[in-house]
Amino acid sequence: MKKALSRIYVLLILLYLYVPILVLMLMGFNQSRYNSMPFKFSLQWYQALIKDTKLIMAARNSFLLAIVTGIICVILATFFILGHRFLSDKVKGLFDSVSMMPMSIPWLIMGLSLLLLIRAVNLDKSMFFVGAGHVVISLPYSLLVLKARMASMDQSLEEMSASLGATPFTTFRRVTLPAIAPAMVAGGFLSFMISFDNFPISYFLMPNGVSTLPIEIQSSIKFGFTPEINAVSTVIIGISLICLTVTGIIMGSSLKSMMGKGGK
Amino acid sequence: MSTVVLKGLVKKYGQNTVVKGIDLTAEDGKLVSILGPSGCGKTTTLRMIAGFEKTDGGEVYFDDKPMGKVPVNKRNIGMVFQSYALFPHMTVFDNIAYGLCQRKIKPDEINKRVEEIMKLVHMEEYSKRKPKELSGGQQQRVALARALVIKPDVLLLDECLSALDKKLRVEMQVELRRILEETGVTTFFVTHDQEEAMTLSDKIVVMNNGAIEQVGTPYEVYEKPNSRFVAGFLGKANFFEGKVTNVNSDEKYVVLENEKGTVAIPAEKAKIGENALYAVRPEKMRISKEPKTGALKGTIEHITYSGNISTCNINCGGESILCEVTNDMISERPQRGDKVFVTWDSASSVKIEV
Ligand SMILES: Nc1ncnc2c1ncn2[C@@H]1O[C@H](COP(=O)(O)OP(=O)(O)O)[C@@H](O)[C@H]1O
Ligand SMILES: [Mg+2]
Repeated sequence: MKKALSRIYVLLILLYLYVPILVLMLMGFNQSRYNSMPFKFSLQWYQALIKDTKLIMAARNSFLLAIVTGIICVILATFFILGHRFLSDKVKGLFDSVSMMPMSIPWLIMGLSLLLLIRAVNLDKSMFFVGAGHVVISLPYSLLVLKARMASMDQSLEEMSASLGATPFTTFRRVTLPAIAPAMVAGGFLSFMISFDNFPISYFLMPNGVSTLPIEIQSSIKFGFTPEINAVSTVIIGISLICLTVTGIIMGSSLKSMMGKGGK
Repeated sequence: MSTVVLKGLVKKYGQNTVVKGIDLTAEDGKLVSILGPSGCGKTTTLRMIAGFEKTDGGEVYFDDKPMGKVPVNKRNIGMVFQSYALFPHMTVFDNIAYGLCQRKIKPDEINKRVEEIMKLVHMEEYSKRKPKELSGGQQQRVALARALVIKPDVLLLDECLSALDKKLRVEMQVELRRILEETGVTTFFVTHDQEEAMTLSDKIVVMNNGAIEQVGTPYEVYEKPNSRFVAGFLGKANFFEGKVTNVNSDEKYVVLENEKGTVAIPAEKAKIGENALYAVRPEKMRISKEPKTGALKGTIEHITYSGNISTCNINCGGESILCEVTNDMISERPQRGDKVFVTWDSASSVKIEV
């Protein structure tokens, strides 16, 4: 009885989480322009999507932006955690909270403050600032993953490498890097996803005439909504899911391999 | 191979002085065990020899060369941690070859030396395995091989057998002794297991609370402990303490007076009027049912049978005595409640300076 009840309970939560998204995805395959019933399967909105050059350009921008953001975040986060270990405990704690702060500041406010900053120093909006903004909000996610990995890493591996005669650089290249590489990839994917999905930062900082996928979606909603948006949303969800899955798999398997025999 | 000398080593963590001035010499090719309870500073001492920790005083010398300014990777040491710290992403072969690769040695030579050392530790069949595909004992051998293949001046082993189960540990002790004899490397062996230290070492250093209590051969530290701590830490000991009120040098007994009363024990080298502390190992004691001169009379309160020996707790008028007797006769085993007489050679009473 208890078991059945808890199953229903879990099911309800899952429905609550996923029904809206499922409906959205489903309607992308519906022929009706106004998302009306009865459901008739059609790929016409996906076909329209392929021909929509504006949307495709926006998608390309989003991709490029997210890739650059992801790479920069991983590099910064790696340097951060490497230096982080040599700080005293007090300073460490301070750095931890400061570096995680962007996670708790609403993106809207973050975007707005960046815009104000640019305006204050009399600069124009540009892709550079969009990228910079994306790095600010995506970095904590890379950091989070890398820090978790570093914390679980056996420090004695690096000491062992030194005792065997390796220079600090060789130790980094042959011991530390292989150990954190999975987390670098995973962290990169996470930051990629955050950047790819981001609307507010791009919205505030994007120069005129350039747009990203989230911006394009927002503006097309303003001018009349077609199931093309459902189609593009489905694609985005797909990409996000892939990123998450890859992250999960990499983190999972690397954790296992680090745990040695027990993980097999 | 080097002679390693530690002079006045000190290590502080904040306000805590965890190593309080250690002087120690490990002669070339000898195995020195550092033995002591958990937290007494053994690992810290070893890490200072390795160069992982800066010293807050004193100096480490390898063959008269001060090592203070020499970084870890230039010290030519071999190290085995309790966790082994094998590189998880490398094969057994690559793990062992790692140190040689840092030394600009030709690939042919590397192959040859790795194969030699794998034979020495009986791991030649496993060269392509990853560490996680090995058992604990096998990982331990790889870690040892990796430390030895670079022909280190000093080998540092930190509780490297503690992770193994009892049977394997004893096997590895024999194995380790053989390997170290073949390689002849100066070795520091940290352990909290006194039996392990006894069987392996040329020299045992007993540490307590960041300082050395006693240094000596296994025989010396066991038979002639110089403090109550050492006597109690290495095996079991009975202590007799009190003011000396009478000394009989012909029959070799000493009478001690303390708050529990007076007791006469077989012992030597006491002066009337001084406070004396004697330690007697339980296995040095004999019990019998017939009265003997100079024997302590008591009652067996508790008895633990463990096959080859029986351990008796005997109450001798206030003094509780631990006594180990060999079970050499199947019929005449002591029983709980037996009235017995306990005696031992006066030479077995080790006088400890207080
Ligand atoms: N990094 C450290 N920071 C502060 N205290 C430490 C550190 N490492 C060890 N200690 C302290 O130093 C003492 C000795 O530790 P250790 O040398 O590891 O002991 P052992 O190896 O004999 O068990 C312990 O009390 C421990 O708490
Ligand atoms: Mg230790």
